[in-house]
Amino acid sequence: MMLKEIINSAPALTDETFSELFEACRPQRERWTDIPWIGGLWEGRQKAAREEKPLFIWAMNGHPLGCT
Amino acid sequence: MIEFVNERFIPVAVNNSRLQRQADDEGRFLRLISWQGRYGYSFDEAQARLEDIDHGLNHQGLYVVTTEGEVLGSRNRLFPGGKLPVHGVGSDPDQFLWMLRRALANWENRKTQREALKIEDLTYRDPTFSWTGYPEDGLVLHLGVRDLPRQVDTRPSGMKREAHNQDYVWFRREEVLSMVPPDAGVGDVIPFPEGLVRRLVRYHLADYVRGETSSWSSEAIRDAAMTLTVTEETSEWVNMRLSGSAQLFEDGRWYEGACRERGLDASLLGYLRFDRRVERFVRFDVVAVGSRWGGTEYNVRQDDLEPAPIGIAMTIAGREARDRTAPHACQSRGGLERYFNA
Repeated sequence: MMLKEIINSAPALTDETFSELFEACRPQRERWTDIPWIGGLWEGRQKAAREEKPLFIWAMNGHPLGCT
Repeated sequence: MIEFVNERFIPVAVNNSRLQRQADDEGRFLRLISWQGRYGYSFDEAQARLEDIDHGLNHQGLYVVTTEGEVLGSRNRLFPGGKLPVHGVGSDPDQFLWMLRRALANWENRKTQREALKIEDLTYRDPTFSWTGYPEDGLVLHLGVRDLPRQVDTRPSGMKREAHNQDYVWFRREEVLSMVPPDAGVGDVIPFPEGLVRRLVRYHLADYVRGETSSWSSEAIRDAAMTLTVTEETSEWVNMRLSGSAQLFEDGRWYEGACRERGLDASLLGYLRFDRRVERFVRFDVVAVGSRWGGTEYNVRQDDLEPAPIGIAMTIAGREARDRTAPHACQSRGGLERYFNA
């Protein structure tokens, strides 16, 4: 493996630093998650037909509710 | 805006890189929309291209449509292969709201869905993709990933510092049970099952911060090990401390040759509690911290290739519908099988 010069070193991961790093990195609750997204296009199409509403589709490379 | 979307639309979030290749009615419906909304084809022209699943074009976008596929509004990224030059995806909230309002005005004048419709259930799904797999009685983790603070920040000024991403991690019930021997006692050091180590490092210790990236090849794992140490136990539960490390390195050619390698050198630490009565984890908090370098086709690291700190945290996922989203690595053709046999 090629050794790289490290200018920006990673913080130490210890029992003492765990909580801070965990809270910094864990998934956060965000405003867009207040929308009751339907994760399947066909299921959404069926619901839009039943409720006589337009579909709003958020289509991304990778699932928007997971990793995009 | 949230209330506006909830009241006036049926909001759907989907992975187009999968749908645009699906050889079934759901894939055709996505292509009907995106050929119009992203590439500027008419409804009839789009209809003529529904079977084209080898187009090699990106169908990403924000679309408002009727259930018959009539596009009422859209916002899409510029894509030079497209028929028409189009504007950026809805990162500007004012322009995004304008598009939604204009789409609602178009809804009043729509040509389709003028009467209530019944859309039947799908009777066929493209079998080359996975349609099941959520481990109902296993373990699902919600993962977050982000850059950590740097001593020297050489990233371009326009690059978002607070970028972050997420994913889900799946373990089946038998895999969960394989982590915890029934007779585990305080002080025992238990190797984390090798196949599960490989799944975690190949598919989840990856630089997704700025966008999706390729999984690590099996050969990229230069070193990876994880152990569980039993710290407390009763007849009802077992507390364990996870520790480990992973070194990943891969040669390649990304950003037209500007990047020829990528790597990750990380330590892991976690605290777990296994409830013996229900045979489930009730705590599974794990952090991986280390240095990443390089980039791949889609993770937008071309201006940030030098080693820099990254943090990844995982915890037990919630029970909302969105928490059933499959891990990113499972969403490609044959992905589920590869994922569970890392």
